Amino acid sequence: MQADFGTIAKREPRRTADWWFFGATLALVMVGLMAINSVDQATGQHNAAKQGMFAALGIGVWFVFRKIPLSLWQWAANGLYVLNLGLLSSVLLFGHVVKGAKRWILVGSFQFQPSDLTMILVVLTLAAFFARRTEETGSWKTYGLSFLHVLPSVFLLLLQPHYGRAACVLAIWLVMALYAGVPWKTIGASIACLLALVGFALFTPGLFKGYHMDRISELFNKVVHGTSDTQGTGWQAAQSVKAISMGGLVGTGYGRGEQKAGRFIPEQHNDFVFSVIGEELGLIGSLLVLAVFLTFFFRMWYLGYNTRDPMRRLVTGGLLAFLSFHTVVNLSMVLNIGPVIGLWLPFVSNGGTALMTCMAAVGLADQPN
Amino acid sequence: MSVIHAPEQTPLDARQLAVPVAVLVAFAGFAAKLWSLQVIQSADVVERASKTAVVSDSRLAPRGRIVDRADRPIADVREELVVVGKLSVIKADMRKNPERIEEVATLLGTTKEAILKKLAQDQTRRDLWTPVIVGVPVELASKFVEAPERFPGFDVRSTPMRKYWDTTSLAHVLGYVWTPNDKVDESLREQGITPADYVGRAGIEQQYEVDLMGTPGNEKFAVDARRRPIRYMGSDEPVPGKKLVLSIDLELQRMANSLLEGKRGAVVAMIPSTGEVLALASTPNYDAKVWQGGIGKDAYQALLDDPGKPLFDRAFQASYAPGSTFKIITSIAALRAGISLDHSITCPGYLTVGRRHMKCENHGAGVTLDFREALTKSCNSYFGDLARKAGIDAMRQACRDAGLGSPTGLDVPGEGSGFVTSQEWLERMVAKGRKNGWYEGDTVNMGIGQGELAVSPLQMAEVASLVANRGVNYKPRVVKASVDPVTGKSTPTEQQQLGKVDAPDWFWDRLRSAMVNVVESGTARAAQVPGLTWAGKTGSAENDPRKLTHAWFVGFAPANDPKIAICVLVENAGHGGDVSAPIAKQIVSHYLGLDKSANAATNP
Repeated sequence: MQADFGTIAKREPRRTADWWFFGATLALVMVGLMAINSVDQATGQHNAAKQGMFAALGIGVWFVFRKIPLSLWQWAANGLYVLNLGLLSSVLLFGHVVKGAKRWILVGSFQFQPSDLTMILVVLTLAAFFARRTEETGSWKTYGLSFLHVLPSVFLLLLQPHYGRAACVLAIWLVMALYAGVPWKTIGASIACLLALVGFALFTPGLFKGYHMDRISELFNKVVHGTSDTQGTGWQAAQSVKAISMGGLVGTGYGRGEQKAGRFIPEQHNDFVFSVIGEELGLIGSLLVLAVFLTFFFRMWYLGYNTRDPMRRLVTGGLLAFLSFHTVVNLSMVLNIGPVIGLWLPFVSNGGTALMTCMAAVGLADQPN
Repeated sequence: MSVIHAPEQTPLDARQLAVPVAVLVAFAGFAAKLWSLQVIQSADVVERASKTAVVSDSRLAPRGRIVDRADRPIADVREELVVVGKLSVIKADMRKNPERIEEVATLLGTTKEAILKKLAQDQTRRDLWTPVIVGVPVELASKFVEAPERFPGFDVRSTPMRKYWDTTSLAHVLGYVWTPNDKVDESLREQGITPADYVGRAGIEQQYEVDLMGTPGNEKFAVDARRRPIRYMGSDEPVPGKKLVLSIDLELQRMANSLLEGKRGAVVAMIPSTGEVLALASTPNYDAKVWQGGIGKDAYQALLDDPGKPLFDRAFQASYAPGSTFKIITSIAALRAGISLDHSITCPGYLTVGRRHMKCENHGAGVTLDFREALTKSCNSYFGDLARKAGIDAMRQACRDAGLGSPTGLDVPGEGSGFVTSQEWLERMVAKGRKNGWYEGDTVNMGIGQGELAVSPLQMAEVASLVANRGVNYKPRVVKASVDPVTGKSTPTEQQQLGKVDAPDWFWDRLRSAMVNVVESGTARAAQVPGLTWAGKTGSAENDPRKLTHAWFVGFAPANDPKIAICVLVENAGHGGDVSAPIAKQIVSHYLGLDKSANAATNP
């Protein structure tokens, strides 16, 4: 599959930001703020204002990350690696439990989810690792070492447990390995191994937390038998598609979602935020949001493609894997075609650390030449 | 950190395109799913959603009234004040003002735990008003109404509750009303009825639940995911239950109770031609007030421990040896066995059965008696002999035909069946080690209403009805009709035949005339009413050698056009003619208006 679309990949040194990329980012943030505001109307909470504050802060984060040259991160890679493992361990030590999982650290009255930051740190350290070994990327040694590189993070995430995040780290690793030049058959074999491992884990009693098991068996029923437990685990997802369905072609209108008003979807401003958009803006609004996401991902991909610097290409590729994995898994969940796994929708879901992480990713992916 | 010989252009190969292609494929899938949800399924989902997510808060329907046959009120409905609470509000307030709920509990004379337990019973009612205490006095209720800010989450409502005008004279028959327990709940649901908050738990309150309950009203609310009401959706007004018209004559019922005062006994009076029960009294009785607001454990235990067994209805739950009143059945059995009843015997004061002598002390020894004389004087020898000649099978058949040995089908739950032996029963007992089989002596004993035989006063009243109706009787019922409160349409309860005895007219004439003679010149002279010719039969049933006999009287009046059949039983009180006949006399003369005849004559 080799082709030359030379014109789309014209390399020009530039100092200004990629405005398509940044514009899509801001559009998604705005969509998120509006959706959260709409949910606030039903719940009487004040998440939109808080999230707006984070958005403003996020622009600062974007700016800073855009200005810090990648070489600095590359230089500090070992330190970042230690920082990452330290953060993940501290959650396990000091984190508080929400719905059976330890994912949060309280800093004052501020909830901080270190695993959000982990994604950036994994991308940066792994990119540094591959970039150091550009001459021998095809070797089994590099490949094996790269796996050992991410393994502690995956392990610590599984302990929380946060299976979605762990899977995301593995996805990032595979995509970055691809970008680094690891042979296809090696990657194919790895995917096969991982799937076998997951299968093994699923059938080992006691390894998964009960609610995850429920969600997985719920998905199994859905896919294999076409049935859905609308009262139990599948309830949230069932309510979500119901709300989206009720939106119809043009939606109920902004702020006028009946299902949203009925608070049928708990925590709708978080992982299930897309269901508000589906209900209130209908098919047209939903497709527009998807289009903005596609624009965002295309530009992000293009920025990685359009560079000669392997570090940059690897970082951008890893971040692309991170954000697209999140988006695809989240939307699958909201549309009830995938398991209910707590991965937020980038830029749109409510959450300070999540938004900052995304803004940092945008800054990292769009550095001046 | 750049690669020196990197090509100017990165090749656009699979390695580069893998992620964007995967994302595109996924997004195409999302778009398809969105199309399916929002275009294809949307209309259906919208329609279904409009039907769900509405909860109903039921409003108790006023229970049907109960009146006696003359429309005298027996049970009514009055509005009771109810303190209600909304758990979500109370819980929220408890966090701020933990002492407030204690204050409410003290005010209501209960505990904080009891209140919370009551409110938390049904989790779906967290945001709906739920009763905390029913029947609070007005002064107490007004505190909640006047200062609502002092009691957030509490309010006062009124709800229609049962009120009885007379809580003693009909306690057994009426039963009571209280929250359904699991058993009641289940049995009502099996009948396809959703139990109301309060249901009949005994008596006709239970038996006629479907008629009395009415249709609860509903206040409908649209609710959110946590069942918090978000919008009022209108209401259905409750429809009151049907009015029950009892066949009971409250005046007669009260009279029966007062005549039995201080005794353990029962009075059953009925209209023989229909089966309508006019009085169904049992003493000692109790005050049904104990059930109101739920009976306390101690009060209930006290009723259970009372040696007079006030919870036990002697009229239709108890059974006793019928004694000589049973000679009516013996006569029927003999006739059906082909015995002419034309014969006379000379009673030497005993009847020889095998090698045993059975005593007869009801008249002087050596007297010659025909059927009429024998019944008048209640000769044991004559009827023992009749039973022996008729045989046990004919005796049992006569019992069944008259409605003995099984419940009569009274429309009050818990009726006893009495006891009549059967061949199967005998075989079972022999298998269990009964020494002897069935002897002639047993049949003779049965012929005079003793031995292994038991009947309820209600069953004996049916026997009197059978004779009054000349061979047929009807299932007893205390409810005459139910009246729809909306349309005013009255639906009479169905008259059903209970027993039937085919016998020629001369037999009924002879039996009636003998029973008239019992009152005129026999054992029941104490039942005589001036100006009335009526029929009766006494009984004095032995039960415990240390105690007096059970005193029975059965009869019907007037003899030639029976309007009332009666059975009186007084436990261990002596001779039926001395104790029960006078009671029957008063009730019958009152019902027929003969005790007032002196007054009536002076009034225009």
